Amino acid sequence: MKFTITREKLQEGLVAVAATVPTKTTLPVLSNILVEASKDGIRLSGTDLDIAVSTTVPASVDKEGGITLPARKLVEIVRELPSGTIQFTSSGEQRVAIECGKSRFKLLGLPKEEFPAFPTVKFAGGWKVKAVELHKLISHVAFAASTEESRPILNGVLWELKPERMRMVATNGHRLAKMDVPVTGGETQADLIVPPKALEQIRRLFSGDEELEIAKSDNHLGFRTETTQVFTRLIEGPYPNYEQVIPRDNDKSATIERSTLTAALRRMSIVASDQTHRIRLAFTSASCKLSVQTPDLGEAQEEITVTYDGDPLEIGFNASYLLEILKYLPTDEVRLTLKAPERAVTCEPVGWDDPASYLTLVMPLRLVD
Amino acid sequence: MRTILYVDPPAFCTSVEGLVAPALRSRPVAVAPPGADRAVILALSPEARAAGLVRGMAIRLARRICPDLILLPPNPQLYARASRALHDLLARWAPIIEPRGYGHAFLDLSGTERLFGPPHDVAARLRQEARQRLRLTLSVGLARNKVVSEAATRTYRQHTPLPTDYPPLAVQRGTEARFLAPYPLAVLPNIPDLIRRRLDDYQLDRIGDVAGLREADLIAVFGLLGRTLWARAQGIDPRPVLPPHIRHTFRLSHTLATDTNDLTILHPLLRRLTDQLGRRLRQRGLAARRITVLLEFTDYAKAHRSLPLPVATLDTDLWSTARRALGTALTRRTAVRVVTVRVDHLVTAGVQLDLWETSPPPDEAVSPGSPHSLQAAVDRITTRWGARAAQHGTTVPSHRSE
Repeated sequence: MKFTITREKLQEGLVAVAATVPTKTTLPVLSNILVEASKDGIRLSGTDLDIAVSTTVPASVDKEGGITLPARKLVEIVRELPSGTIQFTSSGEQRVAIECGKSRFKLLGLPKEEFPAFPTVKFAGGWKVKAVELHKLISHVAFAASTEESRPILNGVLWELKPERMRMVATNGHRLAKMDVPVTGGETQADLIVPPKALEQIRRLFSGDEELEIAKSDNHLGFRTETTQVFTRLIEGPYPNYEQVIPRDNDKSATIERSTLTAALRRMSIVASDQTHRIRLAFTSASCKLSVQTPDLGEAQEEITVTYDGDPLEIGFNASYLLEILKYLPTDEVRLTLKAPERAVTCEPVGWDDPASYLTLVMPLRLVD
Repeated sequence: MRTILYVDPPAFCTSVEGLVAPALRSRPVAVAPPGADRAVILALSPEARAAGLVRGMAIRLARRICPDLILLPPNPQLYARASRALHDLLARWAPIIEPRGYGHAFLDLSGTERLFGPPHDVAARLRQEARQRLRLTLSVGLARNKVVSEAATRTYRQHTPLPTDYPPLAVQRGTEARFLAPYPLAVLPNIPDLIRRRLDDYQLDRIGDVAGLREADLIAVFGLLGRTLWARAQGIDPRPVLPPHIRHTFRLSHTLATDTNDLTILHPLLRRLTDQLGRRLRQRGLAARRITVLLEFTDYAKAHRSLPLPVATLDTDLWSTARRALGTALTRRTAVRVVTVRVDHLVTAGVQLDLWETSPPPDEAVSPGSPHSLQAAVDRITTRWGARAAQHGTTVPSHRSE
């Protein structure tokens, strides 16, 4: 294998792949990136066995071949090299000489045969999605997925594909985020549960008006553009019936300026319990009084102006859940709908001029005192 | 300025047995499970200890060493009653008391000087009261933190022969490291066996040897535990005395009468332990986020497995997760001698409401047919009639008719 590549192109490829390389692994070859030179250019691949990414970057190839090289060291070397062309020359199956200007490196790798094969996903018969739509769904929904092991199905994001819309739903059992994006000309119907880590890679790697080809095998999902491919293992099992927990009869609503509520919540949460982050919200006709009482620490109160419609209501929340939801709401004003102190509260953007529809909901904390 | 008193009634179980049967006093007595093939000693009197017996020794061997040994079956109800009486007595002298197993407790005497007098006098009066009212001898250690006060009571164990009286031992402020330095590492409480063995390998026998090392060196070898070990060896311990209702962890252990790895025996035992832990959590309005099953095998090797819990308050949640943890911890074919279940990462139960009603509000909890209503009914029965009034079928021994 022998090829010459610009530092910028190589770095671009390495950045795309290196994020999937696990930091700790029992299989040494997974710490490496597979570098393959062919007439199309250089293909770089990395995997942690759950997610696999490969990308092709242009290069001038003198001799085709492949080798796996330690990802961290390769990234560090390329980052420190001066701008210009880099020449890679392999000698044998496990050694590569890297030359750039007056710098010379010899790096030991592993034979390419040891690198695990990527999942087989047939893209013929798959479907196409605009990266920008997918980007929007992922960045508004994936945060709500659970990170706890106790309910593994909630560690995934539900991605529903229907002819007229795409929907993503994520929840950790206490809060939920759901977004619908209309699609035209869609034919596919599928319900997929995708690990948020894979979606984060998709969001990072694909953007703009790029059109992604997507296909599914028995337990894998594949995404590809002309240069880059991403494969992820799917989470198996039935996703809980989220429709049944979305409240339809919340009869009270409060419209609040997002930045005002966020700032007040941040201030109150300084004194909130580290364990529960409990904060009390008391809604009256034109105001919302936020208060915190933490027995071993102290207390705090603040009042903010809201437009409230309904009977007065006192409700408790985990402040960090509310703050996180507010961070992802895309408008300056938000609307909360409520029913009772122990019923789910919805939180939606107000005046969002986007064809997508976005809903979040959060369960309150019980006020025991 | 903190003042912590640690109370350690030496040979508590055999002392309590001696109160019930005075004939046992001044005789070598040991508590061990009856009828077991290879049962080991669980507790022993000072006389038995003086004869050369130790905890964990096999009964056969103990009998050979001490032919006069009197063996008694464990009587947990009796020990619990005596322990409660002692803790009630201690609670009158301190605003915060943290019970630690049968009879043992930490008392936070900080700020009580104007009310009860100097802590040293409190310690003396407390011992006197325990002797007069309960006829129990107490060993007490007084220091400015938990680790030194507990270590102080352990220093008596280094005496040979064992003392018959244990005068209060107060460690002056600022002299903690100097006080601990000459004692062997066994005096320092709560050091995991693994670390103790490694320190032994490095020929670090005395607490002062460990205190003399650099903190960074201990961290390099033991990770974050190294930091704690260094602090403890210096006599530094910021842990507060916590009343039982804000404990960070609950644990229950059971030593099997006959060592086994038969799941038909281990599963019912595990279920009993998780039921008891569940009851304790619910009584305090707490829920656990993690459960750990710890096993000690016949060869004293240990294994443990922790699993996260979905904010569990129900016995069924605890049991199903503990059963999975046991399955993964039980990797050896060796028989098990001790099963311990620990729950921690405690939170106030039912505070964060769940979208799918894992922890429904109280009004829904009593709705007929819900697992919470069943649990509440079982709790009502067991609170009124005792733990055996309502049991799971699997935990009741089967009686097969011939």
